[in-house]
Amino acid sequence: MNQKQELDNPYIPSLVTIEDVNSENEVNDLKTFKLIFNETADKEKFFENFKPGQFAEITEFGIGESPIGIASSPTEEDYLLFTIKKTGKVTNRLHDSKKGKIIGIRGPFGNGWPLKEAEGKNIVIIGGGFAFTTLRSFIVYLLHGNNREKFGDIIIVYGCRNPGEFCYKDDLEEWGKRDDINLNLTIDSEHPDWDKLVGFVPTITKEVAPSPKNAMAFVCGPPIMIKYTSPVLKELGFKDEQIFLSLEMRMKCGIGKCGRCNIGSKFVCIDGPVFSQAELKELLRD
Amino acid sequence: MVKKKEKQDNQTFEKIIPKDKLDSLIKGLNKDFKLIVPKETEDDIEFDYLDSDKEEYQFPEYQNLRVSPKKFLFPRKEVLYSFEKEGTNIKIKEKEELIEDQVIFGIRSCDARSYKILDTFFSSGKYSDPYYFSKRNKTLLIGLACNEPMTACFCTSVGGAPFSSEGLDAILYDLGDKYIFKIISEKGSAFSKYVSEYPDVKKADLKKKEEWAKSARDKIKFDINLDNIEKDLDGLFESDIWSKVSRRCISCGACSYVCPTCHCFDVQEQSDKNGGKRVRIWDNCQASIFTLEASGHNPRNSGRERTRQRIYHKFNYYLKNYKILGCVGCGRCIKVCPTNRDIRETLKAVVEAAEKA
Repeated sequence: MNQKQELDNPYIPSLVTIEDVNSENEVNDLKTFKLIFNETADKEKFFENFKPGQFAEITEFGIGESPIGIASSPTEEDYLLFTIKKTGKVTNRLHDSKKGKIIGIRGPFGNGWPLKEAEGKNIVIIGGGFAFTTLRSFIVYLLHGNNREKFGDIIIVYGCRNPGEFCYKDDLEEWGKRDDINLNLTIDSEHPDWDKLVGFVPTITKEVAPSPKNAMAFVCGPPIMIKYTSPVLKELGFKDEQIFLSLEMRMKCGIGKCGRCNIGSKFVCIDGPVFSQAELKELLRD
Repeated sequence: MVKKKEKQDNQTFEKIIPKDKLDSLIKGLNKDFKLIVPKETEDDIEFDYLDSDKEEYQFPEYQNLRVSPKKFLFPRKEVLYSFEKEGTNIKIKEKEELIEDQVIFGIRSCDARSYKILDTFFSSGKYSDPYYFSKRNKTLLIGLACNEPMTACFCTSVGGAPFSSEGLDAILYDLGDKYIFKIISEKGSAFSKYVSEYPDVKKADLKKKEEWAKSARDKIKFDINLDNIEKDLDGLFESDIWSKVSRRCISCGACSYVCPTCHCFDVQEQSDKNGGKRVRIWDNCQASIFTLEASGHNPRNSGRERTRQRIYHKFNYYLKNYKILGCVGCGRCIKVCPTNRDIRETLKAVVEAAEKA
């Protein structure tokens, strides 16, 4: 089988090497893996279609495969980042992995955040817990080089249970120093090591009160956060067409064939994972 | 214009095959094609590869087979690739399949239509399924029209018919004492050389065929109008009929495994210390684990949601996405259900509920 056929078969993973592993939280059940492609051709193929908000299928050879949102931006050209919670068989094995290990990757899959539509708009990013991964990809993309000037104001609300749960602490520190983004970090309740905002994400969103005018909101977090944030955005004047969510479902193939991640007539893997609130209202949902 | 062409083809490629010549037709085909035929096993009749040493092939007595022939294109278990571990290195070996040209001989009209559905699904979207099409592109279908539909059959309610030639490359009509062999598709014209020696069909034969077609059609007693099924279901997602129709379901998934159009699969890893394989295996949406997420959350947590999913997938989502129904009315799910659930009853309940709504 020649190389082209291998690349054309969407079920065959490319090989990548773990370049670095970084623990993200105090509990140590959240690690960010930095991956480098073993073959340049595979890397080029991957980056050809890669947009913030997409996901990839990560293979632990001999264990299985898991769909994971891509935490790095295509503008970080040489590597991919995945922030992975220790949950099942594949992610447990990944957490035991050390630098230098070879794993597999298929992707990028899914539609990603609507970048083109977002150009010229004010950007409101609302995230909770470790679901911040593809939002990080988005923010890094927005702040890269000439990209920043293509977008209006950038308002970020990012909440976690406690200070130790924030991912990407270096990025947060850097973003906090910039005057071209409005970064709001919040924790659920008072903590001695915390001098920033305190309160749940919906509450803080209400206080920050981003204007719906010429704006798009991108929301990613646990279901409970989304449930209470949507009404706040509505109250602020955001229409369903202006609110974008990234969904998760159990997946296997990532390419719309294995048949389990549908929400109504759409597959989360190929039609999503990003849907507007308006699209979701149209779909028949479990 | 199109009609006229069809008529010409009909005249050119309809031959009469005496019943005692079926074996020689099959032997002829078998020189150039691998043949998959209905075969008697100890306690059943199944599609299987023709045993060419066997002296004479005759069709066993069958209405339709318990298990559909989808396994020849979409096997129960299929290796996607294998890998070897060499120290810390991984070497991926893509599956190399040598597939010969093959013919599924004696496939019923409903099953042939099911391949059209699978073709549509597996080629849809950005990604075509290479494993399905590596086999599909090498497979031709010669049908055997259905003289004796089963009591569970309802193909006529979902756009089919016992004598339908849709999706087939050629078809045999059993006239009792002989067959008509008719070439249907362009690909099927490859079969003309195997039947050229036989006499052309006569008007009287065609008349007889029409009589058989009508008598077969009349044997299907169930009739429901599903013209509005997509819209009907649009309004019934939260209806209480789903609790009612799912009540007897034990989530065994037998309906999915025998279904010729069900195509959902699971992906699994088989491995030892030196390497392993990634395989896909048939899966079924009636099992709770099908959508169980790592967090413990399950969007389809009860039989109500899972039964609803199966019906919506075939009778609503398929229409929305591909403008076709995802069911061919073969009746297998009805025959196999251990708690005697009947998809026809569910469809009746849907149509009635939509009328009331």
